[in-house]
This record gives sequence, C-alpha cells and structure tokens, in this order.
Amino acid sequence: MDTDNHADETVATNQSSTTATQGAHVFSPELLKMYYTRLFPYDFMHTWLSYDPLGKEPQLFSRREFSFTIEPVPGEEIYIRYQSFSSEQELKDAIVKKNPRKIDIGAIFSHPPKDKNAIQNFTTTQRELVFDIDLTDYDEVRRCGCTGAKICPVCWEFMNMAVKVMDEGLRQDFGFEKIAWFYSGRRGVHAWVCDESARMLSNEARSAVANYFEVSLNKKNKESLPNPLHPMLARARDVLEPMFVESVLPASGHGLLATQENWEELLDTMPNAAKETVGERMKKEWPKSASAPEEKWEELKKHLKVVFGSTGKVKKSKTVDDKEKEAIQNWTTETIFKFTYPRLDINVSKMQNHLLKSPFCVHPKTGRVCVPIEVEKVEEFDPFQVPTLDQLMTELDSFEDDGSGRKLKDWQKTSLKGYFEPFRKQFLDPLQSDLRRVARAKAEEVAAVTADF
Amino acid sequence: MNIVKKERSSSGLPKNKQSLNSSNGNQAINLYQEIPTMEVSLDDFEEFALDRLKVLKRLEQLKLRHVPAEKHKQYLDPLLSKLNNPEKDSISHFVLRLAYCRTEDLRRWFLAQEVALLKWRLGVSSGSVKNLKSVLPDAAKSVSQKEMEELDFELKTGTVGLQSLKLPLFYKVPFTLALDLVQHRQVFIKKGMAYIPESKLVHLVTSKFRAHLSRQLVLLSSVPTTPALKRTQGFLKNVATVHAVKDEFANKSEMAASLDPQNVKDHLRNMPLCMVQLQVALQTERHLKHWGRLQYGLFLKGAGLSLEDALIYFERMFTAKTKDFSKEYAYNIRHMYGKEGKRQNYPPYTCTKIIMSNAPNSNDHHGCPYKHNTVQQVSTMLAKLGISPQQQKPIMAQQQSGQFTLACMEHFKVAHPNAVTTPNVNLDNVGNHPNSWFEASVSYHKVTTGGGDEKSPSKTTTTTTVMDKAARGALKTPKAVSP
Repeated sequence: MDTDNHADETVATNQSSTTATQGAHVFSPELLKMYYTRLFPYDFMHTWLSYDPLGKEPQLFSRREFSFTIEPVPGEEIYIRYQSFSSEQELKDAIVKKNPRKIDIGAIFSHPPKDKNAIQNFTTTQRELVFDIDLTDYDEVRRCGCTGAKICPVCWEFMNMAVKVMDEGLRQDFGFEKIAWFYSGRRGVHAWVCDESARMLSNEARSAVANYFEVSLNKKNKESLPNPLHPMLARARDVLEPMFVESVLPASGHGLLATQENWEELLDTMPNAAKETVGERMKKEWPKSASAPEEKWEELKKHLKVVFGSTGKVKKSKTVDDKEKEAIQNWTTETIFKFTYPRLDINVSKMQNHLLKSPFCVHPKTGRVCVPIEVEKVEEFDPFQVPTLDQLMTELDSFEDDGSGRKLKDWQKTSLKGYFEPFRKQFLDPLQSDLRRVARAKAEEVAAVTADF
Repeated sequence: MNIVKKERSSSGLPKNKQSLNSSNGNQAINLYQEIPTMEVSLDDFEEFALDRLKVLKRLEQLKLRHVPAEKHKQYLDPLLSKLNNPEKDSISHFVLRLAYCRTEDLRRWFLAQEVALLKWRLGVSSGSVKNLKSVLPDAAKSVSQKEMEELDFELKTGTVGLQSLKLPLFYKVPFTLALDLVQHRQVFIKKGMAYIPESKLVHLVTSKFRAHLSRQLVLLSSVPTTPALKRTQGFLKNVATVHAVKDEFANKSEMAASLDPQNVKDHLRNMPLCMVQLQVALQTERHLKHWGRLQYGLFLKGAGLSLEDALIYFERMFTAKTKDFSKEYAYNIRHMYGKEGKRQNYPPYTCTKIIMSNAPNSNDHHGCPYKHNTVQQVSTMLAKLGISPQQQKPIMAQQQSGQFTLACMEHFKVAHPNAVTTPNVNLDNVGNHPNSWFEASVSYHKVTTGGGDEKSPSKTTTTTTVMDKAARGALKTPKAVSP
C-alpha cells in the first residue's frame, strides 16, 4: 500500500535546505517518545474516529486500520499494517510502546483488522473521503526556485489556493460539511471529508468525485476547457484569479509578468491568431511601459476581449475560425489554471482501502507536527511556524503555571494550542453535536415504533 | 424460479400461454430486479434462453460490424419479437445470468450485451418517456420551474450537449446515481444532487442497471449449485460456450456480393491495399502464412464467402507446399468460421487490429501496407493497380504523416471517383474496416456500371488483367529488407 509518505522518503535527500532549523535535533526517537507520551491528542483521535457521541457503538473505532512504521535499527524501516485498537487507552499504549516514526490510517473494516486472518469476508465498509495535494506536483510551475520537497512561502501559496478551491467545491457541489484539513508535515496538505455520506461512498463514487475535480494541465496531456466553463470551473477561476494576480504575476511571487523574458514566454503560449496580433503588440509596448504586472494582465485580457471576445472585432473575420476563437477565449483561464488549479494525487482518493498519514503525527524529516489547518484562515497558515519537536520540548520546559489552579493538558501549554483548539471548536465539536442529534432522532424513532407494540 | 420437468403443454406459462410469442409493443421495461417465481418447464427454460441469446448475439454483431443505427431495427425486430412476453423476457434473462456468471469473460460479454439491449429498448420507446420514468430511480425528482429559473445560468453552463437555448426538463438525483456524468463534468451538481437533462435520463437507468447486474453476476458466480439446478448444468455450460445460434448475419454480406471460389480474384478492385497484397501473394506464392490466412480468410468471410466456398477456394489456391489440404488447413478455416475449437465466430479484423497487432516479418504479407511497408513499396503496388504517380500523391502524403487509415481512404477516393456523391454508397467506415471498404466499393461499382453484378462489364476484365500483371510483378517487389 502506497502512501504519500513513501514518496516523501524518496526525496529526503534535498530537504536540508528547507528551513534553517532542520537536522537531527528536530527529530529523534527520544523527542518522539516525549511527544507521544505527553502531547499527542489521543482523545481527539478517539472521539473523532469513533463517530459515536453517545458512546454506544464502539465498533467503528475498533474496526479501523492503523498502521505503524517503526525503525528498530536506524535505517531499517518496518511497516506494520492492520493494527486495531478497541479503546483510546489501547491506542495510546501501543503508540507509546512502539514509538512509530509514522502512523497511517486506513479504512473501517467489517471486522477488527487485527483479526483479519481469522475472518473470511474481510472487507472495507467505510472510509473518509481523502485528498492529498502535494507541492512536488507543482514543480513545472514553481518559479521560486523550489523543487521536490523544498518549499518556501511563495510556493506555499499554491496550497492555500488548492485548499480554498477544494473546500468550496466539496461543500457547494457535493454538500459535504465535515471537512478537516491538515498540514502533511512537510510540503503538502490533506483533506479528510468525514460526513457519513462521504464515508459510505463506493470506490467508483470516490473515483468520480476525484475525477470531477481533476483538471489535467500537464503539457503532455492537456485537456481543453469547455466553453462555457462548467460552474465548478467558473467558481474555481473566480477564487483563483485574484490569488494568481497577487502571487504568480509579480516579481515577489513567480514573476510571470515581471520580466521581459517571462512575459514573452507567456505571450508565446497564446494560440497563433492571438499571438500574432495582441501578443506582438504587447511585446512592443510593455518594454516601454512602467505598468505593474497586474496592470499588464488586465491590459492583456482587455485586448484579447476587444479582438476575440464574443462581440469582438474579429466576429466576422474569416481568418480566425470558431475553434481558434474559443481557444483564445479559454486561454486566460487555462493560464490561471495551469499555475494555480489544485493538482490532486487522485489515486489516494479513489480507494477506500488507501492509507493516508495520520493527522497529529510528526514528519520525521522536518520534525513538524501534522497540525490542523483552519480553512477560514488558510492564508495565515505558515508551514514554517508549525512547531517542531524540539521547540515543543522547550515550550513545555519553560511553561509557567498561571496559578489559576486549572488543570491543563500538556498540549495546552505549548504552541500546539493555537492549532488544536480551533480544530476542536470548528470541527470536532460540531461533528459530535451533529452525530448526537442524528443518533437521538434515530433512537426516538425506534422508541416510537417499539412503544406502539 | 422453479424448474419443473413437465411438458410445456401441461405447465409452461399457463397464465399467458397464448401470448407467448405474440407481439406486445407497450411492454414496460424490465430492469430484472426481481427473480421470477413461476414454474418453468425444462424445454421452456432452454428455448427462452436460446431466443434471448440470439438477440444478444445479433446486438454484438451489429456493433462489431459497424452496422449503421438506422438499420438495426430491421435486424433486431424479428428476433426481439420472440421476447415480447414479459415473463419470457424475464426468465430468459435470469437463465442466461446463470449461464454467463461463471467466468470474468462471460460476465463481461453478457453485461455488455444486456446493457446494449436495454439501451435499444429505451431508445426504441423514446417516444414514450413514460416507460423511462417507470424505471427511474426513486430518488429522481423533477426540478421545479422556480428552481430552473434560479439555476438558469448554472444549468446552461453546466450541462454538456444542450441543443437549444431553452432548457429542457431536468431531474435531480443523488450524484452517486450518475457517476459517469459527474466524473466527466457533463452535468451541473449542487449539494450532492446532480441535475440531469431529460435527454440523459437513459444514462441513469443504464448505469444503474449495469452496476446492479455486474454485482449480481459476481455474487451468483460464487453460489454453489443446488440440486434443483443440477439438471440444467449441462445446458447452462453449453449455452455459454457453444455457438448455439447459426450466425446467418455474419456470413451474409449485406450487399450480397455473392463471392464464390471463381470470382474472388475479380473482386480485387473492391479490396483495400492490405487485402490486394494478400490476394496477390496468394496467387503468386500459392500459400499464405498463419496471420495472412486469418486476416484474409476472415475478410472474405465478412465479404460473403461461405465456409464451403472458402474451403474450396483455399484448397484450390494452396498448391505450394501443401500435401493434404484437408489435414493441414481445413481445420484452420473451419475454426475461423466458428466450427471448431472454442467455436467462436470470429469477426473480420478491423483496421485498428490490423495496424496494431502482429507486425509482419519480411516474408509475411499480412498487416497494413501503409503502416508496415515502405513508401516505395506502397507506390509500386499502387502503380500496379493502375494508379498514376499524380493520383498517388495524396495517398503518399497521408502515409508519410503516419495517417495509415487516411491513406487508405485516399486510395478509395482515387479508385472510386465521385464516390461521395454516388447514391447507396456508404462511406462511413471506409478507412476503419476493410470490409466497409469492400462493401462501399461493390455498391459503388454496382451503381456506376448500371446495376450489373460482377460478371458483366468488360471493365472487370481489364482490372483482372492489371491484377494478374500485378500478381506476376509482385514476386519481384522486394519486401522490407534493411540494407
């Protein structure tokens, strides 16, 4: 079973330049043990994955697959699949004892996965719909100098854009509400869609949802966008264009329209009829003009619209056929999408039985915790501010009780608080109260029926 | 369903025995969600299944042979009329499920044909959307006028393939019932509901049917045989593997070229270059190797050469290296006609198959000349067919740009001037299928030579002479040999 973290391992060599604070001191088995013993939010995991606010049906949790990657000897990783635990305490005991470098979460099965071999019809029954988005897939459009696992604040913007588009799409188009986003600990983000309707989706339905969102924009396999744009794509464009203008065009971003070399390269990607007219004109005018990149973008769009728009000048021209005109009208959107549309690793989403790295675990290469991301404040999320293990250790050591006598959990004494509390308030509590409401309604229905007899 | 060993007269389908074979046009569409529970005699059990099998095989042939949709009715109606009784329809479906659940291949075949049948039935009754609505999933709700107005823009931009500016009726269903439409962004979706235009409702029904049947077949395959079913085991095994149906259609070419052992070579002018190459090789080398026999033999079968005639023809032609034709090759030819081995009635090769599979070696003659031969070799062959260098230009241009099937179409155009405007010449699949090339050419010559068949005109003789020359010259043409 492949997970995103296996890919992580293969690019581990060039991570040293990622941040200034990396190296052995951010991650070690001892630090990890401290984290698992004092900070890992077992209660969150258990509450969440039980989907059982009334505490009456513990099987969803106990039938969940956990899988551990342990490293008994440095450099020798062992992958243990099909672990399952019947309670929060059991989970905690196992994690503290095994001290796994990585924890993955799989599906809910028909039986506890640890009994897998004793069961004949061992099948998956539920699984959150998950998405994995990774900056390595953006290499061809990252012009900040980063490639592979290396990230910087400029290319991290792509993740903000992806989160916004996907979150909107999942909510508006599919009606999902219980969506949790997490930092993957290094150079990507994960989404866990936890609505019951999402958990129950068949593999075929998962594929359909993933394909619905996928827009293939590689040079090799480019799909042409429909004209008019499908409402999902139109909404994505409306979300993405301002961010594209702000962080892809100027020199402070990817500099797409910041230098003559770059804008000429971009103008040359236009369909021929537009390149030879508008493109040539811009190439002549822009070197003389002092306009800012975002002004250039507006100017370019305006010219294209005047010449090739539906009421444009070439309306009656025979030199540009409808197909080319459509390609020109699509070009601005295609350009925005090429740089900013979410690049999903859709294979992760397609199967119920696909493992994904557990939230709240620690990335061995960066030492950073896979913390929740508040989707409303995704622009403010800075992967370089996410606490590392050594930093958490220092924070715990230097914590001073305010003397109020309230008993605090250890994570409340650290900067994890800023990530964990919003998660509880915005995801976990609403999830619980919704489930509680549904469970009560169901119980009343049953009671009403039985009372009749 | 209980199987009883009684004569049909005493049981069968007592309720509507008399309507068993009667035509009943307004039959509701059955999605076979419920297993029939009546008693069926063994005879009926078998007969019904075979009647349905004929329909399914016919559907497959129509597809494989690219028969134009408007002609399907004439081929299907006679067979479908036998399934018009709803109970018979249902029983025959479930019997074939039993027969076709056993292997992955059988399941896939059955599933494909059953879906094709359903589509045909839904399409046939497209006048009566009523029928369709009766099989729509319960969750499908029609979209109110008010909502249509609110979502006007989204529905217009989100629905692929709308014909007019005025919106048709829409239905909304949970997106999980329209996965195909959703994943290709063919429809607008909102809060988990997919908005399906009336014209795509068929799709909902077929995809649901496909999913259901696929699951059921897999489940059924793992169910152990019950004693009650034991008596039918032999039949069920055979029905799926043996070609119980004589395939009149595959052997009867639509334009009735009436090929026989005498006139095959007169039809050279009707053949695309790949077949010319094989016929010429057959004439000169008096033998064809395995893949050549298959490609050419199946082509002739599709063109209307009967099994008996094929045996005679190939026996007559195979004089080199052949000691005992009936021992060495007859089996092979009977096999092609579905009379031996797994008894599959193999369809003639399509261009894709010829181009993509089994590239020929230097002393083979099968394959697609445009793909597998050099430009010089093709040019030489065309010249021998009397096509001038000037006329060859468009053909060569396509070959050189790797457009093998387009090159073949150019050849057709050159050899059949004004074919596009000639009545009764169907050019649809010329360039996709050698048999379509052949059929179009035959009908073209019928029209242009005034309805005469292959024996009439002196033109034929001329062509034949050219061909014979070509045949003689072919030996001198070097095959692709690298220097």
